[in-house]
Amino acid sequence: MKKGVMRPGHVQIRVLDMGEAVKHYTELLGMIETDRDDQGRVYLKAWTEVDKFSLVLREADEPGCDFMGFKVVDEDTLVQLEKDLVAYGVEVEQVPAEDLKDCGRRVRFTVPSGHAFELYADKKYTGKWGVSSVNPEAWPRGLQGMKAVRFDHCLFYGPELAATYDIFVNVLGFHLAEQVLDPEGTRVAQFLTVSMMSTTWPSFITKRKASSTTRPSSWIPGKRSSGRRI
Amino acid sequence: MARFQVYNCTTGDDFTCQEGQSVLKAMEQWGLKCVPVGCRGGGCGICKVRVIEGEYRCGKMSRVHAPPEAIEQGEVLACRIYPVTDLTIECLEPSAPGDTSEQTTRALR
Repeated sequence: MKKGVMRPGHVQIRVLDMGEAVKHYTELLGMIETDRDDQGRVYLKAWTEVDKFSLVLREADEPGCDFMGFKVVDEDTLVQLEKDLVAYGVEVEQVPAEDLKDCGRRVRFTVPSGHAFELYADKKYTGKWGVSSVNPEAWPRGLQGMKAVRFDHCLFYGPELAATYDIFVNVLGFHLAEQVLDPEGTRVAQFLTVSMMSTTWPSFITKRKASSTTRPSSWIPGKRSSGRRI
Repeated sequence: MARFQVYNCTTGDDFTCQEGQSVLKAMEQWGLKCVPVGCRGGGCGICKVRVIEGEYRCGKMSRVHAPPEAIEQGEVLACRIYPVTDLTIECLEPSAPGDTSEQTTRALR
């Protein structure tokens, strides 16, 4: 059932070397740097995205994912979902507006797989990159590398798939788009989404812990890990 | 351009590494598989080796998989070391696999 979660909005990733990482995301993936903050974080977006950023890079001595954020319809929805999470027994943390530049307040929580997620309602609207909002061309000039079109999904590895499923589906209104079963019928991967459009596919994936700790294994904007379709 | 020989004493393989090239990248270019390959970016710890002999420069590596005390012992990630002399390396177990406890999650129909 729809609860007002709209789409993946941002992800904050820890990188070992900011210079190398920015080159990777801009020159190879084709994302656009939109800002930096006084903590040294770099903000980027893909060209079709209308909000100011979808990717935040933070330099650290261990790579990984700090959190993934979902945009919800409005402030009333945010208030309601926050209540629903608390009522379900999920601990929530308040992150004030402007902690991420030009982003409103966020509600952060950790799911049983061990990963941190956030909900927010407001982020600065900057429009698509490189095309005018009046009589626009179909495609901007000057895109680099793979010309990634949007932040589409994350793939996470972790334990407790069932309990993680329950929060996303029962509280936040996601549904199961696909699953992977082993020969005994045990679910080893679940693909969760909030989208009803056939053109927008799973936005969030939880997998059984393989040999890794809780780092994200890959993240490719605009593409599914299975490579089946965008 | 300077070239250096890298000898893996665990497997007996040896290969040439160009100046400025990582040991792991050189190994892959020679079609060898004597060190396991993971993220190739200093993050995952899969390609951990011990350098027994020789000098090298280090790139950035995850502190979890290559803490400063390990680096001092020559325990480094092959994807992030750049030889400045010939090297002798040996293989190590990849560091810190996570909890692999079994799941009981059932299929949803």
